Amino acid sequence: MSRVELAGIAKRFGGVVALAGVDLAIAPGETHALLGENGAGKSTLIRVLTGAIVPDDGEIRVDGGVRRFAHPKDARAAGIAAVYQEPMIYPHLSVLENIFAGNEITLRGGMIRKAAMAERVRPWFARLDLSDDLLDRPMGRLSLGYQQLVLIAKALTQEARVIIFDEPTSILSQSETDRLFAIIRRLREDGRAIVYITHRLDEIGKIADRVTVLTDGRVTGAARADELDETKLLALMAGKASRNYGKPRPDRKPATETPPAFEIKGLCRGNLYRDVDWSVPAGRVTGVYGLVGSGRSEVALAAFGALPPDRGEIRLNGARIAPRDPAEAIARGIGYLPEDRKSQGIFATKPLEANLTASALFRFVHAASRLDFGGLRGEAARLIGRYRIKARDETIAIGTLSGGNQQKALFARWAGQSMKLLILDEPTRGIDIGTKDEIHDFIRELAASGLPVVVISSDLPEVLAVSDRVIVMRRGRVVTVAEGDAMHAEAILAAAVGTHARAA
Amino acid sequence: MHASGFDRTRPLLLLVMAAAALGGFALGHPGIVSTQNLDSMAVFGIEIGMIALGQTLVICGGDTGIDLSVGAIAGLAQVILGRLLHLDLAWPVAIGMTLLAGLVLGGINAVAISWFRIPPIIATLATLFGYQGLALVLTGGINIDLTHESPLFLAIGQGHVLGLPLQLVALYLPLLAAFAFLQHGTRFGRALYLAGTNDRAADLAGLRASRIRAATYVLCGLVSTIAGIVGAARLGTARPDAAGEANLISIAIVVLGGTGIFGGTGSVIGTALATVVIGIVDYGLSYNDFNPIYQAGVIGVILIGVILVENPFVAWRDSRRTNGA
Repeated sequence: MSRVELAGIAKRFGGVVALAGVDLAIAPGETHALLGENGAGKSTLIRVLTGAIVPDDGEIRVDGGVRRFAHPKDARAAGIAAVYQEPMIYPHLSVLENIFAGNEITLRGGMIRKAAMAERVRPWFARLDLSDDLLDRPMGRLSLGYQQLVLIAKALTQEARVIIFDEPTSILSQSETDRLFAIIRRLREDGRAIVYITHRLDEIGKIADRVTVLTDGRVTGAARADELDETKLLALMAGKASRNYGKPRPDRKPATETPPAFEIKGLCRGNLYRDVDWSVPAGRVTGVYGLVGSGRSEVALAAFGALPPDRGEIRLNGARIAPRDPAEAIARGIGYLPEDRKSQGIFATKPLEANLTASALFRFVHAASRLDFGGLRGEAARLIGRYRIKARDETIAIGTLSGGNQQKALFARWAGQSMKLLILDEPTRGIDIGTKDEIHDFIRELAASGLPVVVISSDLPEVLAVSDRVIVMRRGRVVTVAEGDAMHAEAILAAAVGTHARAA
Repeated sequence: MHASGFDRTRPLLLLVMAAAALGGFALGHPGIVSTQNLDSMAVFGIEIGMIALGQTLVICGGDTGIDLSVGAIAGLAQVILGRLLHLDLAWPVAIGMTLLAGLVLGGINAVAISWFRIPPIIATLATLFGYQGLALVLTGGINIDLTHESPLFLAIGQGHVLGLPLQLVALYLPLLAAFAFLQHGTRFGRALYLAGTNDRAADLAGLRASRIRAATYVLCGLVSTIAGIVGAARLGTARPDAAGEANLISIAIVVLGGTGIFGGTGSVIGTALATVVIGIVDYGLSYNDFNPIYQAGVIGVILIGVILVENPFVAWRDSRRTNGA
């Protein structure tokens, strides 16, 4: 019998389907790897499993019995715990206090019984080969690897029988990774069920017994790990890209030797990216694909003056530029649509008009620096019509619109001006398919009008759908540039995740 | 909806409060509604009102923007002016130099906050003590007598135009108009609202949020200086502790006037109305022989009271709007 079984789990956020009926069975004594791109629904699935969100539909069964997790403590009581990618800790509290945060063993009246808590933790620390001396240390002094082990100890202390690891190795060194794998194997031998989420295909063979692939909120592939090699895994993961919405555009331009309109050479910044070269021709869409942490957004921010590079050259139409802030980059004709709509893009409580014109105010100034309000309203109305933004009028607060319409408005903020280069970072993240297609069409139109356009995305089908060429980045470096026939899902994915299997 | 995010409820509420306060005091002491008394009220309110205009811009700029040093700037400016006048400089020259000093004092706040990224509450708390201390050093703790200065200078705080206080007509109202235009009519004002709403988004839209905020601290220093000069001319003396209470009362007025403490909303118009309310209440309490030690408490009660009255009303209105939509 499965320890945990999910049946038909569905969850929508507004108009966006995050999970569309997911079935998943996790057996005791087994490590179950969950694969999928960003936005495939993995994190939503974890949040359902840990009781952080309640699914709209579907059933969760624990040891055969149907359970309803209305609150994280329900999941905890059912023996489910998660160890997240970035450890969530209280840095100033001791390790022991972190382990029992919110769950302290107390006397009546609230006095904390430290000795009893230490007693409870000790056997688990021994099981993880951790020294008891750690218990009194401030959590913040520990390395990330040790913090993670403490959180595993915390899960064990709570008698967790299902432990979810969310990309645990992304922050670990090689030796820490080896140690973690040894511990995961031990936990599995204890009969615990392990859910292991990762991007790294090379880890599958080392740790997983079973693999499930999630795409667009659905299970699109499942297999026993020993039946898979890397080529088959890539085919499973790229499955979605061969589906309809990812099919290449008929107007995709052939490979060319046109001189670049925008060019980056040997760009470096600390450990974010190194020796990055981008060559972006006019009249084409250049896709930049890479997983989170590949340095793609940071390179874009360098060109936009928001995060200056340590070294290297940026050229726009042949002239070397080094913008010191976004205002200067904009004055030079560079537009940048940021990846995080809420925190970097919209002014939520402000009218649509102010949002649409925020980067174009200088064009609407009368004498004595008086704003031309009529001109601003007219421009806003034009953009609303041109980019089919669904809103009552331009005075409505942008925060009240749907995510797709907010995104269209941010897109229009740049697309509606005459720029010399547009960099679009995750232009369709978290929005519905219909709006996605519309924005893709707008992007193609921009390129067709002769503009160099860069589309940064961790959505592979999107990159394939809009780009004429693709730059692939991994861990701060450009690993390949694909054009024409070389642009297909398996090859790009293989380059981005860094396997040795280069699908032909 | 306007870019200012300014709600019309608050100004109406303030007008009602001003009328009610005046009416209430008149019940106790009908004599309060005399030309002379209204004139005195205006004179008392003008200096703190000017400071509150600058404070409004600072708070509107967001990113925890606040200027705790306004009163200290007003006091130090007064002292600088007094010292300059005692050097037998012509009073317009002395005032010009004092205004320059005010720009520097505000500029120090701006640099500390926008350049060195010191949180505003810490930076201006530090300058509050620094400026206060400097004012004491410059005077040795003794008030500087200015009663023998040019009558033209003293007229800045004591003169009348068409029966109205000169500083109201010639200084406060023009400043209010200028600040209202700056806030609601210019690119700077629009950028200020956007920076106050979402700092990072404003930067990425090319609006240079931290420079805009820096400018608000300089402007705030300038109006605080003007307030200090007016106060010196009004009383014919320069005191290092002249406007000590302004540091916090100016913030109370701004918040009472409907400017959101987290930035991005509000208007100097609301601030001006709130100044009237506080002016009437303050003067009315003194006039009715209330012990002055209660006055600060009354301001606190008004502040909380307005929000308690307004919240249910706004909630009721918004629920009607949502249902209607």
